[in-house]
Parts: sequence; C-alpha cells; structure tokens
Amino acid sequence: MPSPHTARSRRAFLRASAGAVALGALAGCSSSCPDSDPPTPATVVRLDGDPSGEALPVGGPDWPTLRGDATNRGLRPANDPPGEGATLRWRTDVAASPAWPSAPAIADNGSVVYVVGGDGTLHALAAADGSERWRAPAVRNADAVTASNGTVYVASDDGVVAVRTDSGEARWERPDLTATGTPVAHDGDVYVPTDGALYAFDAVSGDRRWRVPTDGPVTRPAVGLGAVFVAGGALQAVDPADGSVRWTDQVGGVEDFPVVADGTVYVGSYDGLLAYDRDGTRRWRFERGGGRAFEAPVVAGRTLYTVEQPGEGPASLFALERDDAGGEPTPRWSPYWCSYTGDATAWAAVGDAAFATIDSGTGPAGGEGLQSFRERDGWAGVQFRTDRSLRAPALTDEAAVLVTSDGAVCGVGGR
Amino acid sequence: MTVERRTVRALALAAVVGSVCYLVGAVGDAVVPVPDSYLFDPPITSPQFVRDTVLPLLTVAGVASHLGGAVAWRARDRSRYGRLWAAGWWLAAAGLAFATLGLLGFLLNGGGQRGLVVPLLSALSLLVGTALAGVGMLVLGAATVRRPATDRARAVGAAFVVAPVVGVVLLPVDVEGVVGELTMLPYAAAWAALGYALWTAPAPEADAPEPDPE
Repeated sequence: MPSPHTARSRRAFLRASAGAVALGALAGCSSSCPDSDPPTPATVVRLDGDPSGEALPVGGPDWPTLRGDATNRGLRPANDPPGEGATLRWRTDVAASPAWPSAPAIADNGSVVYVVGGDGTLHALAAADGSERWRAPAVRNADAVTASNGTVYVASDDGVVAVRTDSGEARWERPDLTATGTPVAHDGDVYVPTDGALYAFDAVSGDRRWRVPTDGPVTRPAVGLGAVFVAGGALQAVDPADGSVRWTDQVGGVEDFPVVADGTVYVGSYDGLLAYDRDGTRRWRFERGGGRAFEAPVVAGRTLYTVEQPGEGPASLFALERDDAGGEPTPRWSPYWCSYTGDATAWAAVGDAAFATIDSGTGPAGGEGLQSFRERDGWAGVQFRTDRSLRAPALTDEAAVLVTSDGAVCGVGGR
Repeated sequence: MTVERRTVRALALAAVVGSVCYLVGAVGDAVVPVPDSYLFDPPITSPQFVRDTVLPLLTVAGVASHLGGAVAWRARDRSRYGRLWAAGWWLAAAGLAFATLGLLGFLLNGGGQRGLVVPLLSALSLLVGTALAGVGMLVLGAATVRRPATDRARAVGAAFVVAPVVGVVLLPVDVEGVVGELTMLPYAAAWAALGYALWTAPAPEADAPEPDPE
C-alpha cells in the first residue's frame, strides 16, 4: 500500500524500530555514521584461492614498516593502488603458532618481503614470487617488522632483535626488553616502545642512547617535526637528540599510535581525534558525540581517514575533508563520507584510494578483508578477503603483500 | 459547478500522474544502486541523492496525489453512496494523510538515517497510514462494487478491493529487485483507474439501470 512493502521503507521502518529499542541502552554508544550496510566490493580476491603464479612487479617504492614510514601517516600519493583487476599472484606459508605471524614489510627497492612467523622465525621472501631467500631466528609475537638501511628490527614482549638483511645474521639483541609496539627506525636511531619507557638505540650497534620513562605501556612512536611523539597515558614529544621531554599533554584513552603529517601531530582517543602543533598547542578536536573513540588517522593531503569506534556496536570508516574556508592557521575538517565497516582499521592511502581492514563476515572467526575505498565518494573497489584475520598490509605500486592469521603470506597485484 | 468539474479533473489527472510517480519511485528503489558509503553532502547526480531525495519525493507526490484523487471522488459521488462508502472514504483519506506525513518525515530526515525520534515517528505514521488506507480502500471498493453507477465504477471498485488484498497476500513474500517493487502495481493501478474515471466523467453519472426482472 502506500509503501511499507517497498524495500526502502521496510529498511527504514526496521531501522527506526531497532533504533527505538536500542535508544535507552545505547544512546551515544553506537556509530554516528548513517550508513548501516556493509560495503559491497566491486571485486573480491580470495586469499585462499589459487595463485596465478604471475610475478609481482619489483622495483616499486618500499613499505618498510607499519603504516609505511616513521610518521605513521600511511600515505603513498604518487602510486597507483591495486585495483579491480588485481589477482592473487603468489602465496607462501609461514608458521601460525604459537603466536600469529607479523605484518609484512617491503624493502630493498621493493624486492624483498620481511615477515616473522608465529614461531619467531624471520623470513626474507622475494617480492616477485614469494620464494624464500633466507630465514633467521628472531622473536615471536611481533606485530610488525621494520626494515631500514640493511637491518630488520623485530620487537615483541620477548625482546628486540636486529637482523642483517644481507646475511640473516643477528646484528644485536635486547632480550631484556618488553616491547609494546613496532619499532621505528629513523636517522640512525631505533625507537622501541615498552611497558614503562621509550628507548632509543643506535641502529647499527644497538647501544642505548636514552630512555624516557612513561606512565605505563606506550604505543609505537611517530617521528617528525624534529621530535619523537609517543602516546600512552599521555601524549609526549621527546627530543631525539637527548631524550628530554619537550611537552606532555594528558589525553584520555589513547590506545593507538600518533601520526605526524603536514606540520600537525594527530592522535586518536576516547576524547575524539586530536590535532596538535609541534609545540604541543592543541589545534582542534574532531568528535561525534560521547562514547565514540577515534583511531590513528591516515592523512592523505586534503583527506583524512579515521575509524570511529563506538562503545557498543560496529565501527565506521570516516573520510574527513580539509576545509580552509574558515581561514588559516587552523584548518577545519568536516566529515565527507563514512562507511559501515564492522571492526576496522585504516591503514593506508595509495593514489586516490584508502585501504582499511574490515569485517567480511565470511569465516568461522568472522573473516576480514582489506577493502579499498575511492577517495571522492567512498565507493568500495577491490577487497582482498580471508576467512581468518588480517595483519596490517604492506602496499606498493599496484600491489600489496598481506599476511593472514593462519600464516599465509600473499602477494596480490594488478590494476 | 464548472469550477468543481475542473477541480475534479485536475485532481483526477494528478492521481493518474501520481500513480506513475509512485511506481517510478518504487521501481527506482530496486534499480538505483545502493551507495557503499554515506556522503554527508551528496551531489544531485549521486545515487544517494536519488535514493534519499528524488525517489522519496516521487513516492510522497504519488501518495499525496492519491489523497487528492480521493477528495475529488468524494466531491463527485458522496451523495450517491451510503454510510459504508463514507466510512471507507474517511479511513482511506486518513490513511493516505498519515502515510504522506510518514513519508515526508523520512524525506526530510534523509531516508530515515539520522537520529531516532523522527524516523520512529515517521515509521509509525507510515505503518498506521498504510493500515488505515488498506482497510479504507477495501471498504470503499466493496461499497462501490455493491452499488455501481456504471461499469467503469464497478471496475474502480474492484480495483480498490483487489489492491489491499494483493498487498496483504504479498507482504510476507520478500522478492528482491524490480519484481518485488512491482507488487505495488495493483495499488497504483487502482488510483490510476479512479483518476481515469474521474477525468472522463467529472460530474455525477446517472445510476445504472436496475436489472429487468423479466
């Protein structure tokens, strides 16, 4: 009759009814994104499918650490993202127990993939076809690895190991440390977050340069603007020369790493997405109501991607658009689009696409997919899907390397 | 009297055009792709704008025009039929009014995707309106069929009986795509038939002759 039989009205009616039921219990705790349907990918590439055997292009830019570099920005603006024509090129298995394998890194002019298996073995794989070049003992339970200047740094609660990339031999070890995040290598130093301190080591010798005590565990640091930024109980800016603390800001509920981009330090928290000047002045805060935390953003020029994680219910990916109409020096960021994602993490922006791991809801454990979203409208392009969980991806020109929780290291590529 | 005939014809035309709008709105819902993400300021060419604004606008226009058709019908025939017809008319008119309000609520609320109170009230208004309109159309149709002035009136009455029955029968059937949306066809056709009948005969028609007992 007038309409409840149409799909649109039926959905709206159900949405409104469900919303009313949830009103009392969940007000302010669900996502503020009006989108309530998971994205429909244009193409799905299954990571458990048959690899084509076609080689991945070698010689592209490196992705040597989590989020691509020491700023944690996650940006590759000059490269083309893997597109709807992408295929699974190769797959190599590493140990998936007793811990999960690490996220991969691509280094040595895009030719080598480094990944730590669940048994703590560091694997060097050819980026072209996934064949193993060498393996070496490291530490298990590492989130990700960091490759820099001929060394791979692996850190976990079992310690820190630096391994030479030419031979696989250990350069130095620090088994006494309990790392709480992926190390950052920058300008001859390696910064290691731990439970109670941030350490700086000489990248080659492993000599400790300084130690900054912190209030509890800290996240992976970000380096930029002439400082090392680390988050935990507070956001701190540390002088890389001597470890002196330049400024501290007490931020509530920071569980994600800081990001440095375009003269600004970003940190996601339960208080919203916060932006600081290099001197610690808080520039702006983006929030969508109480009870909604924001994760570390991917900053891509005039667009910023961040995941809104409500207290209850599924998360959403938000794209914020920089609006300079209000005048400098403080740009305003306003929501441009958002997408229902379930549990999600934004990892990278390559060319005109953003990449985030999202729920795919396909496997016994739920399943995850690395989903691309078009910058201008959030259109869902290719999704690389597994019935398991995914580690953070490593992206290069028209290609990506993905690691699943069951130990599959996968090379995917194509436009 | 001339003005009244013009008004009846205008409302009759609106009911026919409104039925087309209503069908386009329903079919468009199945044809226009669902966006992967929600744009906070969608361009008018985007599927989201079409789905959240254009299609609901067509649906609202359609239902509102049916209300106009009902008014024209009453203006022409209220003296012909009895209390059952009048009761059916009031039920249908109230239902269409509630449904229009509910659809307007969704339209102004961006497809029921913002907040909770407005979508909830809109959904309730739509639900109540649909139920009233369905019962009202059934009663109207039955009363018209019981005492048809002409064959055309009998056809309109039959269409008003069939539309809500088909709607109720198909309510549990969840058919995706254009076919699912075409279940709205009997409803739109009933109001289009009424509009056509009013357009071609805007003044009260003579009663059909009683059947000859011989």
